[in-house]
Amino acid sequence: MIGLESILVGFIVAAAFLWVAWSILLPASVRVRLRRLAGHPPEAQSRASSGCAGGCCGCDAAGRRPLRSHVTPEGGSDGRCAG
Amino acid sequence: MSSTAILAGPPRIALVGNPNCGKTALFNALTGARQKVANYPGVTVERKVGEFLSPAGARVQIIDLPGTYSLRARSPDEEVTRDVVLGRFEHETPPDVMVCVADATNLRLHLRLVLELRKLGRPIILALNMMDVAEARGCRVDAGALSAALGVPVVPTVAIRRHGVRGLLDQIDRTVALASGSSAALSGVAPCGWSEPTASDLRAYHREVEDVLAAALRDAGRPSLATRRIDAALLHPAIGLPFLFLVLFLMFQAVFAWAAWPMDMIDAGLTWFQGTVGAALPDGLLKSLVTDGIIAGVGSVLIFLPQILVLFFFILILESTGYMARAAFLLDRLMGGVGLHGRAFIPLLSSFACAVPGIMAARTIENRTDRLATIMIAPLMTCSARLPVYTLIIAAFVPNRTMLGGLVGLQGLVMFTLYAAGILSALAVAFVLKRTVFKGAREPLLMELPSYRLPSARDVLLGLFERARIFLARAGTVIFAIMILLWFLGTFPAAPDGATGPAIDYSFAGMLGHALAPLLAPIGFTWQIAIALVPGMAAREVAVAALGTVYALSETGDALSGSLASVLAADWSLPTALSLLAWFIFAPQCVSTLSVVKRETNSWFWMLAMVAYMTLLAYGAAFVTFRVASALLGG
Repeated sequence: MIGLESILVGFIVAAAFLWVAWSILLPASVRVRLRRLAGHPPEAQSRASSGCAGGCCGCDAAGRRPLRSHVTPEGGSDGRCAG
Repeated sequence: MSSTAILAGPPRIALVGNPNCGKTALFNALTGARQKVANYPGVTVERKVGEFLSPAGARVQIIDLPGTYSLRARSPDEEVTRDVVLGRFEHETPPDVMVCVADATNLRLHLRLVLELRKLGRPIILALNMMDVAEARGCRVDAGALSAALGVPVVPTVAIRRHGVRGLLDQIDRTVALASGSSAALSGVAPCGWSEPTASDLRAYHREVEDVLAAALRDAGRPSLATRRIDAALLHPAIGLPFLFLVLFLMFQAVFAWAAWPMDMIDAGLTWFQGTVGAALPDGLLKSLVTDGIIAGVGSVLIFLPQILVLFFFILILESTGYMARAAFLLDRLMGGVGLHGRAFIPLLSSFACAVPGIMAARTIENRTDRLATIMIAPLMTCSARLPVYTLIIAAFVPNRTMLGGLVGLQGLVMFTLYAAGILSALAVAFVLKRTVFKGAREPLLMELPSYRLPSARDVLLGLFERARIFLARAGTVIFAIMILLWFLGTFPAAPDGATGPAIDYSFAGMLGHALAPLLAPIGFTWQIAIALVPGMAAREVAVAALGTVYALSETGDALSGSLASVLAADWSLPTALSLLAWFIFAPQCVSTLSVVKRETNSWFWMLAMVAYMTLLAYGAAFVTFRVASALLGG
């Protein structure tokens, strides 16, 4: 009989698999199409320019998420006025 | 697109100006963003969009653009600026207002673009930036007279210190209000009268600039004496290059020396955490997942955070002082010797952080074959994701000894050698490429050398915070998820009854490792390394985390008994360790890099060519290293 621990571990492994499949294995074009089919706007940043731990600051059109602000679908922000 | 639709959105403002005049610093000051700024030209190669609320309460969209000397664009980054300014992008209106950023210390050069933009007939504001530097040099600009001579509002600013931003915001409000009241402005119609300026147009602009300066420049000031004196030493033919190599050498010594105690602290903290969690959880699958899978795997990478930060501390300091542009100048002859364009230096330098921004920075190179050659060799530069791999193997196999009376650490010296190997192999590949597939005459390097500046502590700290955030985010997402999967593959199916070896031998991961082992045996790799290389395709440092998990699962007990480095030292031969180092100098194991190569070259061919040549080089280098080391040391 499958115990609660096995179900919990199975759930964690399945969630990790889905995340890796969505974020790494699935081509960006397929991901964008699936998001559109689900009625969501395209991601603010493309995977290709997310860079590595080396610290790519995201040079794509949208740029990085600004401080204390939200990123609009186009990648903009409502960053505060620094004046 | 109808004008109604355009007017429905917030006003769009573009930041335009020559390279290295402070556009991105101004963008950050206006939006609160933390886009990368540095004291050399060519940092921004793509437009960035942000929004802010003006003092009048209006939502304003602002676009930061790559620097350009003219709308007569010659390289892909300059084309981005030209196309945004002229409204040539599909589904995008031209900016309603242009904020032209000019370096107050070099108006003669910067005003030419202002005149070119003024001709478009759109509302312009001139942000007279770096006023603090101008004043320090005795340069006095009459902003009112300049505004009258140009016919555009002028606002003095010091973007990196957020000075003058309030005045600029007020001026933006006034200009937007004025423009929305006039019929021509905010119409969203691209200027159709623009034509590429001819040589005589440029000469006319130059004459007009002289007239404007005669009216507005009260005192031209003197060039920075400090910059001239420092350059006299640091750009000296005999001193310059040795000093550059000394700086790089000290940087790698510091990576080991300064990071030692925080790494020990993280290691001790993780060991305590692993022990505590292991003691709290009952034996079973969940305990194995948490201790052997997640903590052993993710922890193996987290430990390298201090080294990443020390490396970036030096890079940020060198960038913000203006020394990086000098390094490009010093290495131009060396780069020219292998046929590389002088401008290739900045992309290659950016690749020390990560090949992705490095490859994108190649947009500043005008010639397509030069750009392709730079893109093809950029991943050979040692990116910081290789740092955990190198450090792990060095810590395991290179004794922590000092030489030359304690001045030089052996581990730092080996790290410096590995970085040098990456640079030399990139130059060698460039030499071959430029004489075969990318033939062409070499173009000279034309680059403005910025004045030396003291680094801003705030910017350096923010830069380090950003690096740490990115590193930890990856450890908490990509590496975390992959380690869970690797644990699953290393645990199931369970070992059969009566099995004597570690359970991982019988698992899916063990089967995969043993299947790949014959292919990698000639280069001395074990089946555990074979397993680690597969998830390492996601990012190079994942290989370290994978080794942590694989060895944790290989232990007869529940957790890894010692540090990963000590386990590797006991399990691998020295030729195997050297072979893996040689492999990682060349291996193209990073999907982000490959996808950005495909995007930037707009071709599958170049991406596949990169995978092929780098894999062949990696295998060949590892084979030679393993065989020679085995013969000399006895594998």
